[in-house]
Amino acid sequence: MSATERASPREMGRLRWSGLGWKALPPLSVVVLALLVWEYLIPRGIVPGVKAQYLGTPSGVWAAGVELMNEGYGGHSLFAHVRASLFRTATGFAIAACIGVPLGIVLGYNKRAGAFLLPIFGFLRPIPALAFIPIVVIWFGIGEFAKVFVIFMTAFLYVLLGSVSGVRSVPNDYFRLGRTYHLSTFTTLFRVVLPSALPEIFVSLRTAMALSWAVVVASELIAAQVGLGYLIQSASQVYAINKVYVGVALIGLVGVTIDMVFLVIERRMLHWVGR
Amino acid sequence: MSGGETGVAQIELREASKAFATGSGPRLALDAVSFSVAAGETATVIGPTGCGKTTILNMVAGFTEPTRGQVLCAGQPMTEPGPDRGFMFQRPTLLPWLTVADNVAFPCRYGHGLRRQRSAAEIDEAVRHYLESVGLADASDLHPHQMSGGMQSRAALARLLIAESSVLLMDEPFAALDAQTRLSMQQLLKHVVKSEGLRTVLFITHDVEEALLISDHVFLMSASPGRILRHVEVPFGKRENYRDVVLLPEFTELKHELIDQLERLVPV
Repeated sequence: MSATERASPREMGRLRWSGLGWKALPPLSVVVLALLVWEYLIPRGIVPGVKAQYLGTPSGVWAAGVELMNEGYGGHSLFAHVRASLFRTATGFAIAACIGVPLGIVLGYNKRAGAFLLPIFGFLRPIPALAFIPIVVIWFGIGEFAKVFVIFMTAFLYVLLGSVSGVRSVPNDYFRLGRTYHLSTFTTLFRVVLPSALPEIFVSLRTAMALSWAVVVASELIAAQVGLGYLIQSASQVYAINKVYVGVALIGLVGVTIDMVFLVIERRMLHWVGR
Repeated sequence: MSGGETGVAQIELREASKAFATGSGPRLALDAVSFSVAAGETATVIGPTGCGKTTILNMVAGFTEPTRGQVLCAGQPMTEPGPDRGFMFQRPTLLPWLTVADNVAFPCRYGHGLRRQRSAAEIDEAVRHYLESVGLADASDLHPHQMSGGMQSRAALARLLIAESSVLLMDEPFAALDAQTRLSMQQLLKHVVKSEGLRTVLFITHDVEEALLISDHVFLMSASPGRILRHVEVPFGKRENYRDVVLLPEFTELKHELIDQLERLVPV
């Protein structure tokens, strides 16, 4: 490339600005405007029906965030709250995945076994996991096990039925290929059925994880001494609205991060999907 | 009807009928179909949609059994699929998570009862050989989604050939390809089958020209129920170069005769 063809740094800056900057500008300006309104107008009581101090301010949220980072909440650091919620979710989800995926593959593959059990699981799945919470509290009390169990119930049914559906959508010609070359059942399952069903299994795992994360917060609202659900519930009881906002934002942030981790794993493992 | 007087019958249908259960009672798809294909020959079944072409192929493959009559391969009744009868599907049916080389190696690596048990090194060598023979020597590391439809068909053909099945069953394998690619696949099939020794091919197609270009025998079928109307012994079946064939007046004449006959079966 000759010198005349090369853009000067200034031009490059302008190009970059025109490419990315202009696209980011409109939404950014909306956010800035909203923050300004929230900071300066809302505290004057312009929202009818809600007391201005219960609506918080951006600067208050920032201060609450800094305070939570430095001092934690309820005797636990902010990190400990995140860790507690994550640990419950991960435990319930992992158990659900370890049982749900293999069982789903077997029930999807073996039509007779599926006919026995699938209608039952199909009936249970639409019941919101939160409806199980009172039952689980009666059975197991309000300890850790109850929370993990509720998450397990949520994730298990999704993963199981997703795996069944994944196996059932394996093209019939793959099975014919397997029968033609007399593949063993083991090879058929692990070399043909599982990889073919994996994209759908992964979608169900991702959905189950997102649901689990929502459910862990809900289960912590009821009875917990640590965790993000506990944090927002407890802060709201003393009207510390800015801390509640921080907790809610953190719940969203962790949820998005988890989903992104799943997406990265999915892209790596399922490199052939969507091409 | 007999397809070829030389050699033993590799594929034989004896009065084979097939009925399917439908909502309004059983429907006869195939009515007492009889024909045979000698070892080393290529036979094609053509006919209108619903004439039971694919049912014939599925019966020979062992995916389904005749309601009446017999379907024999090398004198044995066919009751289940096996590696002695390789099947090429309408779509390439490559496993998308495997590379082309792994797809081609698949029957040898995981199959049972193949004619030859190969060591890992022998499998690699065979994969190289068959990929080369279908013109995919440089594509071995690609995944199916990185290839065109024609390349995928070539890979599927290599996977079919590597198992060294004595019978090749092909269910409209080139139907979805563009005209140019289809022609090159037909040439390739013909060339490979001739050069690889005794392989008996049973081919299904809608395309009269394709049937005449690749086969030694053509069986024309009628629909509802499927019956064999006509057996054509293709006089130029042994010629490999399609140009030598398509320019022959007899080729054009036979082609139009069969097309006319097919059109009468399916009123436009």
